[in-house]
Amino acid sequence: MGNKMQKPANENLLEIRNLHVRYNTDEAVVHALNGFDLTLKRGETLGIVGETGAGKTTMALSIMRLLPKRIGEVTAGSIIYDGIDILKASANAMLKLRGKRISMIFQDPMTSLNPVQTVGSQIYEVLELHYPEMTREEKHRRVDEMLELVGIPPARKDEYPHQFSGGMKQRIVIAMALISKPELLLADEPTTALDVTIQAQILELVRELKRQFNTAMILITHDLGVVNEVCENVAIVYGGEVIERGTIEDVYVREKNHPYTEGLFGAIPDLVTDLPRLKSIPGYMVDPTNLPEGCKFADRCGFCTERCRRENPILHRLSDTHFIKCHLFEEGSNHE
Amino acid sequence: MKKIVSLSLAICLLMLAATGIVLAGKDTLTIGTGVEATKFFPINPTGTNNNDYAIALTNLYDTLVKLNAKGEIEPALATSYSVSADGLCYTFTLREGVKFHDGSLMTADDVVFSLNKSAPLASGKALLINFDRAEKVDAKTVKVYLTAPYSGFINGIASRVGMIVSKKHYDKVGDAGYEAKPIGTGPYKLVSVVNGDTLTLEAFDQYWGGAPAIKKVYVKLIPDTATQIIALENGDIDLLMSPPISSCLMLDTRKGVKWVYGPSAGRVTMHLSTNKGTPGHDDLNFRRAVQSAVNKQDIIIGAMEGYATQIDIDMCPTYSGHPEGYKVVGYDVKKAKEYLAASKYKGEEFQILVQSGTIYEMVAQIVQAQLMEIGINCTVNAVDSATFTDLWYAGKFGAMIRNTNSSLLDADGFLNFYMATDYAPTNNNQHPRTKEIYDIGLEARKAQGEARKELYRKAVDIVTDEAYAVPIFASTNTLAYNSNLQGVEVHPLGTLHLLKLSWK
Amino acid sequence: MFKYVIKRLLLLIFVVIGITLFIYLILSAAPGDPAQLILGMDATAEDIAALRAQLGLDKPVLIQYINYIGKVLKGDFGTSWLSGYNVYQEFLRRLPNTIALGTLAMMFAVLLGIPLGIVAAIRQNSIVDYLSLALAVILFSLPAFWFGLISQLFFCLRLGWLPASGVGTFKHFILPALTLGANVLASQLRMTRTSMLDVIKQDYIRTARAKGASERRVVLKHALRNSMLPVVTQVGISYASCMGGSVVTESVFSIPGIGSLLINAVKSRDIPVVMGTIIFVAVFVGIINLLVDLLYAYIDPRVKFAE
Repeated sequence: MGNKMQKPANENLLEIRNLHVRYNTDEAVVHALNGFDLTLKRGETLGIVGETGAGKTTMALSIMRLLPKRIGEVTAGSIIYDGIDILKASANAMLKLRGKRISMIFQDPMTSLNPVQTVGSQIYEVLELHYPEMTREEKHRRVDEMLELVGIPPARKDEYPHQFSGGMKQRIVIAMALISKPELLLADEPTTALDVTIQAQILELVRELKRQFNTAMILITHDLGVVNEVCENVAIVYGGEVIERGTIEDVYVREKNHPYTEGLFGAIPDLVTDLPRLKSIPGYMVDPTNLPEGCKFADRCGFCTERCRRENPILHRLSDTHFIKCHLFEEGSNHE
Repeated sequence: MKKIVSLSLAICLLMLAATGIVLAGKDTLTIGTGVEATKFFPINPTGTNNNDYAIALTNLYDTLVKLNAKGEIEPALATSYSVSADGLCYTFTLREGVKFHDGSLMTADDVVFSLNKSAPLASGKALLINFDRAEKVDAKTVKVYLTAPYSGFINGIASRVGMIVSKKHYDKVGDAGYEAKPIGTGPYKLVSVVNGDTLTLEAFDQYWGGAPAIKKVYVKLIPDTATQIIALENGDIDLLMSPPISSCLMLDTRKGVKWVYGPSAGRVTMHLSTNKGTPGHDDLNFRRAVQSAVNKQDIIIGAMEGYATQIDIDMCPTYSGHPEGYKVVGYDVKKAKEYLAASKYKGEEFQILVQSGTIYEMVAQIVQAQLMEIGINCTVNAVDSATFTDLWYAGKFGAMIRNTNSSLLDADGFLNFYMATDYAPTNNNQHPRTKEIYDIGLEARKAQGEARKELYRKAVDIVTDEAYAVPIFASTNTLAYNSNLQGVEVHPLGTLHLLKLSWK
Repeated sequence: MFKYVIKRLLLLIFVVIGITLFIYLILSAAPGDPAQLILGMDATAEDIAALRAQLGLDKPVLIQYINYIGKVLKGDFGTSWLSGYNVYQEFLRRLPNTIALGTLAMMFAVLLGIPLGIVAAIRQNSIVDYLSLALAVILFSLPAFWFGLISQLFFCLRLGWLPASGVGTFKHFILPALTLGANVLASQLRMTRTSMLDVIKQDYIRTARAKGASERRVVLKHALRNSMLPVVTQVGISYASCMGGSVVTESVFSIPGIGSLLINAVKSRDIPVVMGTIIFVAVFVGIINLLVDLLYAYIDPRVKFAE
């Protein structure tokens, strides 16, 4: 038993508790999420950081209940969204959530849009699905508004996705995601596929819009810099678990961090110091088809002990906001 | 999608209107056939063939005399005829009151015109042998003069080259016009031809031999033999022309169908080549080995289910002038091996040429097995009809198996393979003794009675001695039909005489 | 787009010329003398030579070809050497049969194959999927003539529902269309299934779901049009091959169509009929391909016509 996060229930928009998700593929069983915990308040911006394969996207898909049908399976845990038990909700109920109250944008804008439909109609569809009471003219006006808001001339709404650049496509995706002013936006690596200059624009746009609509956001990324720009809080994910959680200050001030987090920061290229090679975390990401008994980071951790290999650590509280899942930070221990 | 549906429906309706639905009634008859008639003018400059003859020409036109199913001559447009003592003049007495399909009366002018126009054409030359000219004597009499006597001449008059057409109609419309609108004296008129589909005939009520019982006849083309049987058993057709023996044996008689068979005018023979480069060249022992190695009874059972007659000379037993007392070489494997050992054969390929997809291909395969048994390296080259003709005429084979018909039902037909004059099939297939046989054949044309048979005996004995050919069997004609149909008769020439048919 | 169509039609003319020249050369080189075949065994050398001169066969092949094309450009497709009928008229008379047969077969294949393919893809690895795949394999493996004969035995002889051969009513076309369409059905089914499976995995489908679209909407509005792109191409190819592949079906069911016309003409080296038929078929196939390309461009806005 560890410390449960003591927050009043109605303040939390989203609560994920001890979520276990696995993929039953033909070759092997992939344990994607292994006791994933998360809370999110209304309007909060949370960054989820981790390497590829850590389970970040799985978490987002689980919230939307869009895991691949036969393969993805939730084996334990719960997801409560605004009091609704996502895992038990009916299919119809989910249809009313998706695109309206919870929106998701994905990593690759080049393939996220339907190539044979106009961009205008794809945005329009969101309104068709969720606001049938709006008239056609109202819907079209709303679409135009949204396009302007994301910086696309509304005159181009009858063009097709292939006629836009990557950055503009992502703007369209954002327009689609935010047109119904959702309470929660899940952004899965929204700028990873774009070049740096466009990246900045998109992040600025997202920040602005979420401020306008007061949307809570979970920004999934592997880029610590992006999190710093946009988010208030951050959660570090490794091996399907949250291994560190805190405010930007908590985590980025670098006083106390999970060894993995330290490794992540250490791997960032230093523009000032001259180093012969980049510092990387030794070893490879833990194999999700063959998880170890104890701490999943044990093999790669410089501070690994016998206990680490035997016993999976629990989340230890360092402050009201900062939590680390590591034996080193057990109450009473003294780790620098 | 809707547009495609309505378009196809429109097309279907169009076809419905265009081709009409075939109804079966008690005075109509639907015939199924695997080959279709394309020419309807018997003295067409480009000629006609047996496909045109079998149903269409036979029932649209008449000849002066006709050959019945037993091969006997019967009067038709001529009530009687006589032959001069020297055999050079045939006098025909014409029947009176014979009408053409357009109502006009047949006259001696029509007869003279028809015969004079027909004789110089390719088939005319082959079937009206020694023809010189036809002359009108008076309104009822026509004389036909020959350059030399020929005992089988009357059979030529009875064949498709002796069919009588209307001179008046021809003068009006010419060759092409006559094809388009054929006029004959036969029991049936041509109503319509839909190429690839149906030929429609209608009874000619003013026929000199009496109005036919069956008023409308539909001849449908059904190329696939299995479909033919199904169509017959299903009642889609009432009669099926020339079904293969194997199909006949499979007929389900519970469905009210039956079949008949009879001797055909054709015989199946294996002709050996003596051309340079073939095993048979200058090697009598090899050819005799082949001759003795062929088990004809096995072939008859294997290819014709036993429904054929073995022959020992290249003629059907029914041919007039058929000789007697000729030499026969029987099946003798021991002798065959001895001949082969004595021959110059060194194991070269002995290729049998045959047309693919026919009964004869099966015959060739059985022969191949029999020859391989005595140690001949025998292969079968089965090709399509055009290539077959090409290779045959070029003489590019070790042996060639085919069915040869004599439209005259006459012994003279055997001469086709021993022509010493310019003749495409034999130009490149000359045997050392071909001229000898040809000369005898020419003599035999002029001879009559026993003398004629004796000459043919001499000729066929040469062929047997030299083993130029191995005759195998005389073919069989078949008809399958609805058991309620009466008057069905198998004719050696493969023709169907609709006048005799009626429903029970 | 108009310019594109014109360009394609002009190109088609060159294609037709190329095909006809090629076929003409092959036919001329093939064994068998048309004049000999027409006149038969008893013809003398003079007769054959005379007919050859009449048919123009004594001239060099290229000259013959040019003469023929010259006549065609004036609208004269000649007459059959064997039977004397007018090639153009005969072709027109038979064309509706082949088109009806091909169209019905395609309709059957498309109306059954595409929905089954979609269902099989959506319910991948379910019973429906496995049965559909099994059906596709069976139908693809069955030789047309066997299938035709068996259906004749069953539906005509045993049940007596349908006529076994010939044309004349809609009923006459049911079995032949099923026989011809069976093969196409199989490939349509598999192609649709594969295409749909491919499309369902695409990111934009995931986006559509994330927008809150029901599974049904996702399939019909988003997946379907995208998955139809390769299917449309294949429908075009199949339709064109139905025209040619109908030879066997036409033979089994005694349907007087283009297929049987062509086969018989080739067997008898009836060059005018062969050439005329080839020209019409080439033009027909070319137009179908053009229509397919236009349809493809209509469905997929990414396709532009090169100027």
